[in-house]
Amino acid sequence: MTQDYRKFLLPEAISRISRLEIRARSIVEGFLSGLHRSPFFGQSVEFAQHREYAPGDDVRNIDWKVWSKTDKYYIKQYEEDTNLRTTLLVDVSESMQFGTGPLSKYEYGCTAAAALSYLLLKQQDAVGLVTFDDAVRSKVQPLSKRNHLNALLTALAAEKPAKKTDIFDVLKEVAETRSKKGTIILISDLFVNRENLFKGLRLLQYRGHDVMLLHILDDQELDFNYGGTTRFEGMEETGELVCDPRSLREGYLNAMQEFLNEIRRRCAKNKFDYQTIRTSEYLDAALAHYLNHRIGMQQSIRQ
Amino acid sequence: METWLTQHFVNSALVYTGAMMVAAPIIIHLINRFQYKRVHFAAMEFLLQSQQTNQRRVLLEQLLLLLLRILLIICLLLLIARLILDPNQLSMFHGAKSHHVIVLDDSGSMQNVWGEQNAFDEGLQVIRKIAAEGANRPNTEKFSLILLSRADAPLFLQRDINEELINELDAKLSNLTCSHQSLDLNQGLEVAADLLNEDRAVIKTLHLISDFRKSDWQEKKGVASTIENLSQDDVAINLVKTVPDSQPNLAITELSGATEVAAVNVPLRLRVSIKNFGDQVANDVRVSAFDDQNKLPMSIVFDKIEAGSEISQDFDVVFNKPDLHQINVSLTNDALGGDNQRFLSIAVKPSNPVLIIDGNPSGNEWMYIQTAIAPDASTTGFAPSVESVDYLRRHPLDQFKNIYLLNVAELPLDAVSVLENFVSEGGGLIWFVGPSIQPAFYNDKLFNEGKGLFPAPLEMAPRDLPARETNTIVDMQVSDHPLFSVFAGQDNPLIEAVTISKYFPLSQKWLQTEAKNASGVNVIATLRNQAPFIVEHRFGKGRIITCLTSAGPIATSEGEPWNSWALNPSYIVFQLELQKYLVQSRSHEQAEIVGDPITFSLDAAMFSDEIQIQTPVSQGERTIRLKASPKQETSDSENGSLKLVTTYRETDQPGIYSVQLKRQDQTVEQQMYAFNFPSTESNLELATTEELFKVLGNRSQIQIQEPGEFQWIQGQEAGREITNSILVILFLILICEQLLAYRLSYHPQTASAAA
Repeated sequence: MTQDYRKFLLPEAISRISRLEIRARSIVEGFLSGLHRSPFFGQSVEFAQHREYAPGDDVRNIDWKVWSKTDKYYIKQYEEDTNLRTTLLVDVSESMQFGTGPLSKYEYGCTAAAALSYLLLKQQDAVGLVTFDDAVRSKVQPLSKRNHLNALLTALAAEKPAKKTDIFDVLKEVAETRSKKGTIILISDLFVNRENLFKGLRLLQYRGHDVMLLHILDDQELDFNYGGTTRFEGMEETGELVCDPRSLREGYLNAMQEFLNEIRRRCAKNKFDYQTIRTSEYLDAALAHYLNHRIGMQQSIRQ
Repeated sequence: METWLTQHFVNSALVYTGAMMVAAPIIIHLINRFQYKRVHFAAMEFLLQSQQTNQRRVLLEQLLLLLLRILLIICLLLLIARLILDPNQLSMFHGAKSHHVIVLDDSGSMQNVWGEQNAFDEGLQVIRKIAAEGANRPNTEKFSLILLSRADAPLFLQRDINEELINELDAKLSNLTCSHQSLDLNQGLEVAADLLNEDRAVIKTLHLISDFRKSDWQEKKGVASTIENLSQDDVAINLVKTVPDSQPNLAITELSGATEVAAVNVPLRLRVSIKNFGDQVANDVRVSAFDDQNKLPMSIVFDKIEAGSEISQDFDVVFNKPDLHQINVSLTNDALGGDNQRFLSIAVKPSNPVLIIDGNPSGNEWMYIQTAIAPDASTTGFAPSVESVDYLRRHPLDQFKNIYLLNVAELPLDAVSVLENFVSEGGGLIWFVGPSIQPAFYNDKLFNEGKGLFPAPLEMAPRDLPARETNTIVDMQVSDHPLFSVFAGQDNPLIEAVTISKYFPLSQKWLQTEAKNASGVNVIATLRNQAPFIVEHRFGKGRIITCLTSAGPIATSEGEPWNSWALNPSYIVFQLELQKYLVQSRSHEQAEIVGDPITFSLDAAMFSDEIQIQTPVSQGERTIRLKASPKQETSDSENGSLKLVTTYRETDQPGIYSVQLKRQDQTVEQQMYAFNFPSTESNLELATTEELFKVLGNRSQIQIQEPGEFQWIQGQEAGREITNSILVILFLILICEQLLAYRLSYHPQTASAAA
């Protein structure tokens, strides 16, 4: 058990993550009660600004001191030093098992998830996890306890992926169960029906979730450097093909590029944060991207 | 199929292997299709999509690539198996049953030497190479070798080429020497044609190895037509040149003289002619002369001989002993050695007896003759003896060179027949008329309607030639006959001084009617009035000169002399020339051309059947003994006497052949025969390939091989042009294949990525 989840915390990755933490500290406000500044105003100790009262505002927030001086109702607004609620959606379907480098997409995805979890937990943020293939395989409720990491890693390691990805039902289920707003990070190769995928993601967005896509792809899937006659056996029952890969490479790369472009286009349209990550890239790529995203998010949501 | 392959490929055995190799790209392709890696792949969606859109293109490209690779193999196969589009170009040696008939020209000109090489050895080398190449393909090649000098007896006849033949060939070729003769190429070719026509071999090849001199090929229709017939019979003709370039050559073309009258201590004038066969002027050509291998103390120098011209010089030789002498002249060595020497055999006698029969013993005409030809026995070498008519009947005439008949009135009939015998055997007869002769007898018995010793009938009486009025016209007008060559030239004062007053005219009737038909009767001098004066005709082997005036200045009844010629110095010259001229026809030619046989026909009553012949010194003197076989002479004139006949044919070597005939009384008679290099072989100008094709027609069966090149024996030359084309095609296919293969394969841009 211990061995199983430890494998996602490679010393190299951990060391990188530790360094990242230094970077993270400089960009995230709040250290003990949350390193991340919440995009929302909430109950907090840190005053942010005054706003004129409007009917419907919580009366408790009226700054009476201001009323006493100005005879006008102003309410106090505080920084919400929330615990960031992040749910990692990890695709553990059969296609994620593919990998030609040291790590398969699944392993890479899990490692990235583990690293993010670690980072977030270290910042006292709540991290939840949902793994899925054609349906949700396991769920871990968001908690910010440091020892929650074990539960997360166990859920990741326990999966034995075998089935075809069907994403809409999964996303729908997640949307229904995660009622609190938070960040949803989808880690997948996105070899799914695109319509269903974006339908599901939009559903999550409606629910107020901040959606982020980490598109994990293997080098061979992106570059297709196969040579010699090869029999390609499709994962998830997608058929098989004997061919000279060199002759098909150009067509394949075109198709792949079109696929990536479509995803990118639709993500941009829906304001989903999207990043393609190669399994050959360093693990911190995912984290760096995540942190960049967070900075961008602060600026984009709160005017 | 087999035949087709052997006709179109040098290495036909490789074709089958090669054809199997063609399958290699296909097999490799199939193996690749079945030997694949298995890869579990996630992004099948895109792969299948790509495959769907590219399926046709990929298939076409792969087929094209496969086709290119097959073509590549085919091209390599054609190169290695050596494709030949035109089967006639194929080397003689390609596995099929074939017969090679080689005709080796061993005529004298093949002795042509340049540098260290000579044409004949080159030819032998070609034969060796052909045989050696044939031996590489056992049991397929047959071989015949015909030497031109012995065309009737081929050296090898339809022999299989094998180790045994090679050894035998080596032995025979190393002993083979080039002949000195002038030979007819056509003779050899006809023998070869007969051989090839009999043969049923699949492929017949005729190799003619020669130096291909212009003179052998131009205006020799026989050769061209024989070759044409052969090529029509599907015989491949291979003309192998052995000489690269025409060589300049000087040749002694003549060594001659009045050797029949050679006598001791009398200078004999010999003539040597040199012809320059080259295209450059030859300067300072020195000729040495030898008498019995002793160099004569003289040197004959030709300052300048223009290209293509022939120049003669005379020189005198004096012999001290009555004997058989061999004279030879020689030049310094040049391209052709055989014609740098010329030989002459001379039987030097103490003196040459001449018989003078004077019909008028009281007269003194004989004295003029005698004085003219032998003022002193030692100065002219003639020994005249004056006899009466009766002598003819009683004594043998064989010993005499010539017989004078001066003013003879009549001859006894038996004397006529003896004289006829004498002349027909080659003796010379000289008639001088005079007042005594009986024209009726002459016309009847001696002219005998053109069959007798007298050339033409006479008028019944002598006629006067009116005296000259001016000095502008001479009495005696000579033609350009050899007899008068000394008088050649304008205004000869000696002849001008001669006056002729009386002569016997030839019958006017005969002159008008039959003179033109009487062939062989030749008027060689006329009188002022155009009447014939001196007449020459032949009788048997001999010549007869008839002078229609008296031999001396006989006075007529009027006291006038018949002529004043005998008092003129030109008379002496004429008489001496006459002697030399008449004896030339006496016996065999002064010199023979090598290869001509020596024929012996000896009187069995005089000679034994043993004949001993010594060959020339230059080639190692050998003595050959022949036995003549008796043969009954059938001709009437010989009265059926028994003759010993034989023929000696081995006269290839130029030089003097001395013959010893043994008489019945055990004494020995010596004879010498000089054999010379044929001057027709001396012109070394070669026919160019273009000229040969012009003569032979540009047929595909005819190949002309340049000297010093032997590739054709291995067939390396055949199909050279197609080889080049295949190489170009191969190169293009290689480039296309590489380009296509590069296009179809994946090349990660590692270098640029790293940069």
